[in-house]
Amino acid sequence: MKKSIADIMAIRESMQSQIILRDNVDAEKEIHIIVGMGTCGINAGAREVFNALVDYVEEHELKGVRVTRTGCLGDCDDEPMIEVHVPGKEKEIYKKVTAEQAVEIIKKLAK
Amino acid sequence: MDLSFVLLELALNSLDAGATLVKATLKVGRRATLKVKDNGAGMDRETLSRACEKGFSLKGSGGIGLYQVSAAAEEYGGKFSIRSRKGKGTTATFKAKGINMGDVAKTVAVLLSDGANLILKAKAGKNSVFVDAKRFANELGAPLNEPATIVAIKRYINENLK
Amino acid sequence: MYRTHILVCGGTGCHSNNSGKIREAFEEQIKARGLENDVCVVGTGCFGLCAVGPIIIIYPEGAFYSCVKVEDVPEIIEEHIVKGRLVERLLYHEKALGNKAVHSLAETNFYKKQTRVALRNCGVINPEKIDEYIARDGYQALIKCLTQLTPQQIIDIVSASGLRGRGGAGFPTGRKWQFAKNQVNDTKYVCCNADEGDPGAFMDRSVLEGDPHAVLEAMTIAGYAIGSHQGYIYVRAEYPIAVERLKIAIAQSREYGLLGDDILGTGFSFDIELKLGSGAFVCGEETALMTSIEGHRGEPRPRPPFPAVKGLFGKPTILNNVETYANITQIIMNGPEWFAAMGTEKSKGTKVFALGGKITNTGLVEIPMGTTLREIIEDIGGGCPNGKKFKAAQTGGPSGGCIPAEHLDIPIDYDNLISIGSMMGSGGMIVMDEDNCMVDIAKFFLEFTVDESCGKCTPCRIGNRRLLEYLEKITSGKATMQDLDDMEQLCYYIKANSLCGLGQTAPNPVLSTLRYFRDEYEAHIKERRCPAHVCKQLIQYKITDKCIGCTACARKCPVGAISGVRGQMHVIDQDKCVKCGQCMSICPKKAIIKE
Repeated sequence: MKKSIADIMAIRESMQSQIILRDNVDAEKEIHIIVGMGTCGINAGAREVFNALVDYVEEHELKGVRVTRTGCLGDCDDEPMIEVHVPGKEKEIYKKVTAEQAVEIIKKLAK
Repeated sequence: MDLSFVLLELALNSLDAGATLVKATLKVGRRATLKVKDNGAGMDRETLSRACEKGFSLKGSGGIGLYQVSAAAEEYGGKFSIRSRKGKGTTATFKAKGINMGDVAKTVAVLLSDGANLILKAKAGKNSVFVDAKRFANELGAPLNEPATIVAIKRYINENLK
Repeated sequence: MYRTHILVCGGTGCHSNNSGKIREAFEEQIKARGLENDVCVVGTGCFGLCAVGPIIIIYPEGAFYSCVKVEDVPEIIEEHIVKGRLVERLLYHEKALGNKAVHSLAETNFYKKQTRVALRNCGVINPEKIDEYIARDGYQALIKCLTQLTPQQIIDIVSASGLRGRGGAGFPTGRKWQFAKNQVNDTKYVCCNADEGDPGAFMDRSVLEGDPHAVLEAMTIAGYAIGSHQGYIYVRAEYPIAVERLKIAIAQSREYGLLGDDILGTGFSFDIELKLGSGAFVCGEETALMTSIEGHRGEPRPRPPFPAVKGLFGKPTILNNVETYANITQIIMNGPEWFAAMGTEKSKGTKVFALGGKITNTGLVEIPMGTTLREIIEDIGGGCPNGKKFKAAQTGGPSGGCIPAEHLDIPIDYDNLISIGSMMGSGGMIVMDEDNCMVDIAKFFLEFTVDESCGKCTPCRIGNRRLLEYLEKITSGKATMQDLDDMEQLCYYIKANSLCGLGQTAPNPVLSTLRYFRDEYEAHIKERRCPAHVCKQLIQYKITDKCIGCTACARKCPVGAISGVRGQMHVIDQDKCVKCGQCMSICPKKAIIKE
């Protein structure tokens, strides 16, 4: 059953979706954006900020960026808040973030 | 306030209670019902009796989420009730009149980022949608909490719930 | 389409702890519940955190279960697979994170600081399924080499990467391949040294057990680069699982036409044969290894001529270590600059270390060159257990030296280690604490090398034996300070005059312990005392006044050296005592001490 180069590429294509489930050990090398989603955050528009980020990542097929949510990140007055973790750097906190501002932040990081 | 925000509030509580499966059923018409059932840690009788109390929270701060939901039920001439057993999970039921569905897809996007499974049944007039998030992800061949999967599920919900 | 992957570690460590039975139990029970189309059970290679094996990882969550037993399988299936609830009590709890239950491997300190290049597939793929290797870009490097690069370009890439031999000597790999390529000869050979003989080293074993194709692919690329059509892997017979996995991998490669005639239709032919070692440490030495493949007794040959010019069967040969090969495909795919961006100026890339001895996280780690010893031992290794103080770390096995606490902040690379009297070696790192006697450690390594000496040259055969005799004299309290000086002189003589690396480096443990722990040697000689209470002839067991006279020790003593009346303090007769230590172990009041 000798294979040609095309055969090897085909095997790789078809097996990749299986193997990708096992690739999460690189989690720590990613840029991680955490959106505060406590009730204050939701009231102030955190859900929209979250969606704007996820939509941007998907549309631009960004690799190595993870968007997650957590509970209350701070004072209700500062919400919506996001925390940005870049590997090897100190975390950055942004307050009173709008969906548009969040997209600007992720645009700069993705460079 | 709309049903999608109530769903967000309730389901986030489920996930914070360690649930790996959340079942949500929404119906909007003359009357609106939302039921959220989870397999999380559940609450004992004492905690349950204080759950909707303003300022009461097991998470250190806040304590206004469930208070807001029960206030909304009253405002819309409806009822909010919770059944729960410690170690057995929680079921929360929200009933109201004249409340909109809202943007369910955006709520689901937030819920899926945790990686737990969500089974959603939503009906608005003649339109309805059923989503088993994990099965959806498997068919896509991608992890549940990846942006590609989340956006695909959002699109699916929006198309069907027009 | 599988929704869940259950990965069970099948490395030798976990295997000897029944991981094979655990995997079978999963397969049986998944089938019994009719879940075999949703859940796949995969036996993988070594994950690296051997201290807490058997290890199971379940994706997509990445849940990391440790110390799993066969009896735990039904619960994992019922709770995690069926109900979707993590089994908290089996999750790995990391002390450094405040004993918090860790869900994913990537969260642990052990993994965070690692950069897995050579080990990239270990613990992720099933090494017995070539398709899984291909899924993770396996054989892409070979395709690139055969279709887009010339042999000289390949060698230039390897040279530019700065890759140095990972077997211990650190010779630049690109330069070795270049020497062989420059020879004009129709017959050349590509060899792989899989004889890993250093006590405490199991880096190569894990690569062979967990990712054998990485080695096969790299050897084929090397063959194309230097103009060879035949490769040999010399693997020690004491690695039965590795041998088995290599046999399967070679068979699968041949079946796919990735080994043999006209590989992938490119016209290039290359095949690999497996040769088993027969239990001789010296056969890990380059020329002895080739002599063994040729069918003779494993003895080294003088160099020059070097193997790249005249090696196996007298033909130009390159011999590289398993870990060296394991880096090749990544260098080809990611480019030499990627590799050279890691590490230090003269030591590029990463190194796999096998952490053993007095350390919390025993196992396998891969870190960029330039990581400090402190980071390896404290952050990744979790420090010395039981609150004991770190004393030294031995690198390079019987050829290496000890690194004391004063050098903990040294960035690890080939040249730095040599400057402080040790060497990189193959990667075995044995950690010692305050309860280890450094003279005893030196003696341990000398016993090993004396046993393994092939006997061909006098300086090693006789010299190292004399060296061992000096150490035995010291540890039994019969040596003089003159002996110490003579011993040191002998070390330099042996290093300068032995025929091969075994003899030349055998005195290293002695010289290195003398350099940093001379006071221990002097205590043994001048005071007839072993400060760490290890050397049997120099310690005495004594009963203190914590004794309650329970007579347990007297009854346990195999030579009747303890006497006393019930209820009153007992006493040990030092002349009869054979220092077995049984009395100390059995005393309920910890009333017996070593001094």
